[in-house]
Amino acid sequence: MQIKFNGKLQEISNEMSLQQFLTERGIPADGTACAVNEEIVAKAGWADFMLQDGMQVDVFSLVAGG
Amino acid sequence: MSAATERYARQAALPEFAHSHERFARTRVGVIGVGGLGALCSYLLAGAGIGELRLSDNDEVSLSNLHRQVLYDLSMLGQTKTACAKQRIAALDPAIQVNTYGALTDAASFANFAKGLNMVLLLTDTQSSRLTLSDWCLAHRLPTLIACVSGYSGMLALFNYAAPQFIAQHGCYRCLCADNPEPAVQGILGPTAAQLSAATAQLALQFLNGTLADKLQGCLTLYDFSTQSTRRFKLKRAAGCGGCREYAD
Ligand SMILES: [Zn+2]
Repeated sequence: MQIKFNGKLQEISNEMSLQQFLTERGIPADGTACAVNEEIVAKAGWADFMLQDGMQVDVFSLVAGG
Repeated sequence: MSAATERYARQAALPEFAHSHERFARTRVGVIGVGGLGALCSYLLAGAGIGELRLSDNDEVSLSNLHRQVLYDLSMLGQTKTACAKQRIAALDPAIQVNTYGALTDAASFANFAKGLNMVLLLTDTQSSRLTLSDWCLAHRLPTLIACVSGYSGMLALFNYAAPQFIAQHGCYRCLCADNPEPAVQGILGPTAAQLSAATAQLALQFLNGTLADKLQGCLTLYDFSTQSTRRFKLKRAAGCGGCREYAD
């Protein structure tokens, strides 16, 4: 199935959770926020969130300066 | 033409803002952190005629601030930022009431600061301080605008803690950032801080004017100033968030 990851289409072969998807791509959990289909998914929910064909996944680094 | 009519003529020429300065004159906004974001943001709010500004910060102006904190200059080194911002706003428009506060370090000092505010702008320079202050804003049911900037990146979101349905749907700042370490401090260009300050002030004024577009409600906007691009995501309440659980219904 295809996932659009940060704007680029990627093919994944197996069913996987959002957590697995991000881990496989070397995305550190610390300091990272994630949205699926343009809606934020809280980090505590990443492991239970199963990706489906055509989903859009975006990650970004949290910033805090002011 | 009265002075007020003349001062706000161009603002009032926008149909949505035709009577905004009359409304803004009765509006009270709290700005927590008057550094890279909060200083210019306060000045822009004062320019728009926000009647009362409460500024909180315990920092003093230093030489390393001046490349981006454009409200301050060499004559102000070592003085508290809130006093300097107050001085600049008084020179812009003495009708704007500016009250200054030190750091808000406990719930009681926050309650004193927050009494009667229409909105809080949370513009401190750490995630940990924002998390605590956001909890207090939530407890006081205050519309809270949170902006952060570092490197070339900015984040901006309005958490309308005054609306229970907002909290049920979109949660709180803790839903977004809890369980993350304090982000590392990065370098920053003056224009990056200025652009996000201006975007923050714009969002605040549209919200306070009652003319904020629906699509911006409950959204987090991410800015990449190196490419002049933005991304926008819907905020969603985190099921297990202890910060907003008791306010969500
Ligand atoms: Zn929450």
